[in-house]
Formats: sequence, C-alpha cells, structure tokens
Amino acid sequence: MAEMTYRDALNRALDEEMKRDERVFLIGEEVGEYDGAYKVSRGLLAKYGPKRVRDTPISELGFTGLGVGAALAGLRPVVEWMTHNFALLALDQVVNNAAKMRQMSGGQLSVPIVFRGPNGPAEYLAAQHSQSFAAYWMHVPGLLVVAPATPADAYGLLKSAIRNDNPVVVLEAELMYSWKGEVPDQEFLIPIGKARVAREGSDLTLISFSKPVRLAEQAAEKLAEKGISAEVIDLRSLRPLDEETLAASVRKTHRAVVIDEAWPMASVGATVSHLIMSRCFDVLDAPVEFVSGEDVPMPYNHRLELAAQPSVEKVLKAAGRVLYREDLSNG
Amino acid sequence: MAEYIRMSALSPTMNEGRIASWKIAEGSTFSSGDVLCEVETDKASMDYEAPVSGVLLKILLPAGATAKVGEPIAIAGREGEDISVLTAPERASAETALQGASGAPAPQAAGPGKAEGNTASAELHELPAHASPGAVRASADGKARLSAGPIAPAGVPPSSPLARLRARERGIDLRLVRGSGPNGRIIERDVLDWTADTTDPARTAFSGATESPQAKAASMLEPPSRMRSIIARRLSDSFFSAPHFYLKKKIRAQALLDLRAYANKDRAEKLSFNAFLIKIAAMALARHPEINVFWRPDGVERRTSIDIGLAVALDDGLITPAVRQCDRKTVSEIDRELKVLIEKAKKGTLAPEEYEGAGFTITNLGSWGIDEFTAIINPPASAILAVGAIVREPMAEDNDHIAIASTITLTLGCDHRSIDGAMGAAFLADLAGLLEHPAAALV
Repeated sequence: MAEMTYRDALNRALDEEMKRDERVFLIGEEVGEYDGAYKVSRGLLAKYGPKRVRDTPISELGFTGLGVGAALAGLRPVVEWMTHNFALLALDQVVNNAAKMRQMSGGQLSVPIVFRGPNGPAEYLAAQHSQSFAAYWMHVPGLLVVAPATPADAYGLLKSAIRNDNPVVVLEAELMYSWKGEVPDQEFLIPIGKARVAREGSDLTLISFSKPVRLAEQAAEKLAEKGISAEVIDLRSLRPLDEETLAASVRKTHRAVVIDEAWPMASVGATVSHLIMSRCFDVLDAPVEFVSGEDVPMPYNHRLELAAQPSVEKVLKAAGRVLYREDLSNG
Repeated sequence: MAEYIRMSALSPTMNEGRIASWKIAEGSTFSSGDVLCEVETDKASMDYEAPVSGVLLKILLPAGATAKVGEPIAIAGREGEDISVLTAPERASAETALQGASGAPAPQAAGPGKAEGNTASAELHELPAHASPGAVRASADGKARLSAGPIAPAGVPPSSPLARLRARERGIDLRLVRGSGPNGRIIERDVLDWTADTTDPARTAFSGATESPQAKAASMLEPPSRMRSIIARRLSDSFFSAPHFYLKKKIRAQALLDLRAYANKDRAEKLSFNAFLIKIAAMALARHPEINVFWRPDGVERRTSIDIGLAVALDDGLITPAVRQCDRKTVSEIDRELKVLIEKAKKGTLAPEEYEGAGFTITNLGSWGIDEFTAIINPPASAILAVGAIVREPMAEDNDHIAIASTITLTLGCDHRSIDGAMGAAFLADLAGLLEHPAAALV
C-alpha cells in the first residue's frame, strides 16, 4: 500500500481509465500544456496526446457543452472545471442537457460524462472564488454527485464515475489536493451511493462530506479526550444519498451534528438534517445540530474568512448542545 | 433569547403557587439547578430550581404573590438583553384575557381534537399575543393556560422523543422527572437517572424538600419488572379484547376426595388435588374439543393435543406451566410432571416450551379459602377454569333432607369469540359430572 496525495490519486485514476478505455478523454482549461491548474492531469498530455487531453479557451459553457455532445455521440469525457465557481457559467449544459437527455429520450440517449474540479472555500480567495456549490448539483434529478474526502476515495470514486453511464459531478477541494493517505496498490472501485463510517462511536454522530470530514474527525478526537464516543460518517456520495447508513448510526447514537461548509439555506446539510429528523424522530434526544458556513459572502479578511467557516470549536459546541453538556457548548 | 420563567407544577396536583422568597436577585447570574425561589404550594414549601442557566433579568412576581402554574414569574436571558417584547402591554393584556378565561367554564375548543380529555394537568401551548381566549386549549379542570415564547417547565414538561420512549419503556410518569435540558426539556439522561435514583429521596424529582409529596410519590412508583410488564400486557390484551363470560357450577366433591384418599393411602408422595383436576378436565375436553381452541385473528384453531396450564403464584407474579397430552397420562404421571414444573417455575428456570401453548388453564385459589372467583383467560386459549375451596355446607339431598356435603364452586371463563354460552355450559356440565363421579371417566 502506498501513501499518495489526493492529487496523485486522481491522476492515477484518470491514467488507468484512459488506458482502459480509449473513449475516455480529458477536456478543460490548462489540463494539457500546463499539466493542470492543480497538477491533477500531470503527464497525461505527454502520455495520451492532444486528441485525448484537450486544452480549451476560457469558455465553461462552450467546453462543457462540447463534452455533453461528445458523450451523447458515444465518447466518455471528463470535463475539468478549474473550480466549481466557474462552473456556474456551464449550469445550463449540466442541468438542462446532461441531466435531462436520458429521461427525455425515453432511455435512447445516455450521457456518460464526468464533471470534476475543486469546490468550496480554500484560502484568501474572497467572495467569488470560495463557494461550495454541492447543493446546486445535488438538487438536480438525473445527476450523480460524489464528494471524496480521502485519496483512496478520490481514486475509487473517480474511476466509478468515469465508468458510470450517467453524468457524475465530482466535488474535490483545492486544499485537499496535497492531503496524503493510504491508497491500495491493487486496482479498486468505490461504489457510488455508499457512505463511509470514518470512525465508530456510540454517543453522537458527526456527519459531513468532502473537506470538513477532517474537521469532524478532529472534533471526534477532542471529544474522545473527554470520554465521549463520536461516530463520524463521511457521506462520500450526495446523490444518491446513503440514508440507511445515516439512519442506522443515529438510531444507535440518538444525537447528530451535521457539518457542511456551504451556506446554511437549502444546503446539503439542511437536507441531511431533515432526513434524520424524519427518519429518526422517535429516538432523538436532541434536535439535530447543523454547523454550516456563515450565511454571508466569504469575507476577504483572513480572520473573518476563517470565522465564516465551520471549525473544530464550532463542532464541539454543537456536540455539547446535542449532548446537553454545557461544559462543551460554553467552552 | 430572553424568555419567561414560569410557575412550575412542583407536584402533580399543584395548580398555583405563592412565592415565599426569591433566592436570586434581579440582575444576578444563575446556573441550571440553582434555587431561584421558594414556592409555597397547597401542600408544602419547595425550592424552585432553575431549568436553565442565565441572568435573572426581571422578577415579575414579587415575594408573597401567587401565580397559577404556567404563568410567568420572571424573565431570564443574557446580560443586558432587551426584554421589552416580553413586558409589552399587549402581552400583558393577552395574559389578562387569559386569566379572565381561567376558572370560567371551559372555552370552546378551537377545533376537533383540541380539548385535552383526561389529562389532569395543565397543558401549555403557544399563543400569539393577539390571539383571542377562544383559541385556548381547555384542560380537564376547565382552566385555560397560556404560554408564549419557548416552553417553560409546567404541568406537561417539554421532553425529547427519546426521553418519552425511555419513560414509556419504564412506566415512568414524566411529570415527576426534572428536565435538565434547555427550557426544562426532559432528556434521556434525566429519565435514566430518575430510575436509578428512586431509592435516594435527596435526588428525586425535585431536591430540597425531602418530605415533599412528589418525593414520596417518586419513592412509591416502582418501575415494573419484566415479568410484571408481560403480565400487564398479556392480561390487558386478553381482558380488553376477549369478550369474557362466566359460567358457575357448584359440585359435590366427596367422590373425588375419596378417590384421592384411596389413591394416596400407601403413597409416600401424595398425589396433588390439582393433578386429579387436570386429569378429569382433560377427559372432559376430550369429549368437548370445541373448548380446547385458540382464538386467532384469522379463525378458531382446534388443538390436536390436550395441554393444560396450571397457574402458579410466584413472589413477584405468576406463570402457567403446561402439562402436555393430559388425556393420555395417568394422574400420577401428571402429578410427577407438575411437581417438576412448579419447582422450575419457582426457580424461574421454565423454558418457553414448558409454559406456552396450553389450550386450557386451571387456576385454583382453594388453598386460600376463596369460595369462588373469576379468572382472566390466558391467551391464545379460549377458556379458563377457576376452582374455589372445598367447603363443608348444608345441601339438599334427593329425598329433600338436608345434609352436610363437601362442595367446590367452579367458574368457567370463556372467550365469546370462539365459545358460545351453550357450548361452555355443555362442557361445564360434563366436567362437573365427571368430578362428582370420577368413575364415569372410564365409560
């Protein structure tokens, strides 16, 4: 088993899938000559040539639409958005074309395409480049959405996404690209639609996805020091959502804290909280707590930028509230 | 957010309380569990513990004044918080309007299902400041109460779904449990701790006054044992779903007593009277298979084997071990099995197959001198025989003379869903005949 970065795990998945299936190609800004804005596609142009690693102009609506057309015509494109912030320009192609064609053609057409790139706040990127759009994609029937939080999941989920015959949105994160983790040498797939119990516990469940899973794990570590056993659930897949794993965990612990770095209104976290309330109502000992990003455009000032995001401290306070432990919620 | 602290029901019967003294001064900080004030109720003087932590922003009810359960007595929140919303005149007028409704005949409920039928305690609920008293839910005593803002402790305290589940499982009355969550919410821990604390009066429902009525009530309420819960459930199910009817018959017992005396003459271990009863009941059931039936939701199930249960009293309940195929066994075989089963029952080591599935049950309170009694059918069986004591009493003889005879009164309880009156009567008549003339069982 090798330790590798999240970035290299994605690169390995792309490389293996391009080798496995010549219909797979990569398209986006800077993916070729520059080896990728975040070096995810390093070496692929040299290996597979300009037909299968296509640099594009700064034109998200254009190259995303090109990808959707190529998928309809029988290829299996991987569209890289430099960030999901820029993907807003391509929203129409994803929502109205990629997500709809299969249903509107009565199953005659399929759109086997992957849209991937970093999502959510990084650092010093201010209001327009620090947004989590997970809910935008999760909202749309016809799309699949995955959000790997570890290098192994990034590798296994991207491969599953490329092999899936439906449009799949992959949520990565700029700060995660350099995170390291164990990735088995043997080829493997992670199924779409299965959550991961990142840590087992019995007193409360911390639920998150993507980058904030690490926050949840750090909070669980702190809680363990106080003798509290927190279970951590990494959703991994937002659509379909693994409700069974969620419900089973909360039925066991009776308390839940949901962590989502997006804005709170109409967010992934809000939906997950609702599902827990409705599926586990009779066994809840406290209202589900929701730690989200603050409901403001991201401030540029670094202190404010950090204050506007979920933190271990905020998670601990929320845990204190569901556990009715004032020493935690005030501390 | 600033919120009212309300007069709390410090005992299940308390309707109003008088503030004896405030223990926390206006503007002071307090923690959840601190004594806020001393309250005099109809029965005792008790400490009112803070349900939340915060600052006592304003005292609404001075010492010496009285408030009904649910009415605000103070405002608490964070230091310097604006409390004008809570002290605004329209709020006060809504309160006044409500007080006008209190004590008057129950206001018309706002809609179906709004009236709280059988809860004796006050029900708190949300009511906007401008709502009319007509929208108020009426409680059983005809009084209406108002709550605004977050619910405060009151007759029916707020509680988490899990706390309610735990209380149901343990048969705990939530009104006796002190909530430690926000706004006095009862949480799982409160219910679990309360169960564990029943022997410690200092830590029961409300601390402070250890002789308080609720402390006594707390020490008297015992969570049911597993066996008690099962008895409660099974017999309630039987009694409230099976339409019972009872047939009574007095029999002369002399022949049976003679038979038993003869059989036991040379025995070191005497055959029990119950073994004879079971054997003869089995012979009667063999003649009346329509009595040896289970009532099932989808029909009447005739038993192929005559299995008879005998109710055995235990220190903490009762159980009915069953003897199988009684029609094919001798009295001494039945007696031998019975002794083993009763021994196991008393030790609590009966296996389910040793007490389940009897098609008929006998319960005998004769050893207590009970003349006669009715019993509740042991489901899914359809009939139960209650056997009274052997009584010496004057009886009319065939020649119209009166003589002293030994009698036993039998009461047959039947489930009318599966057994009709004439069916039960025919069985009981035959059973009585066999008991009076045991030799007839040979025929």
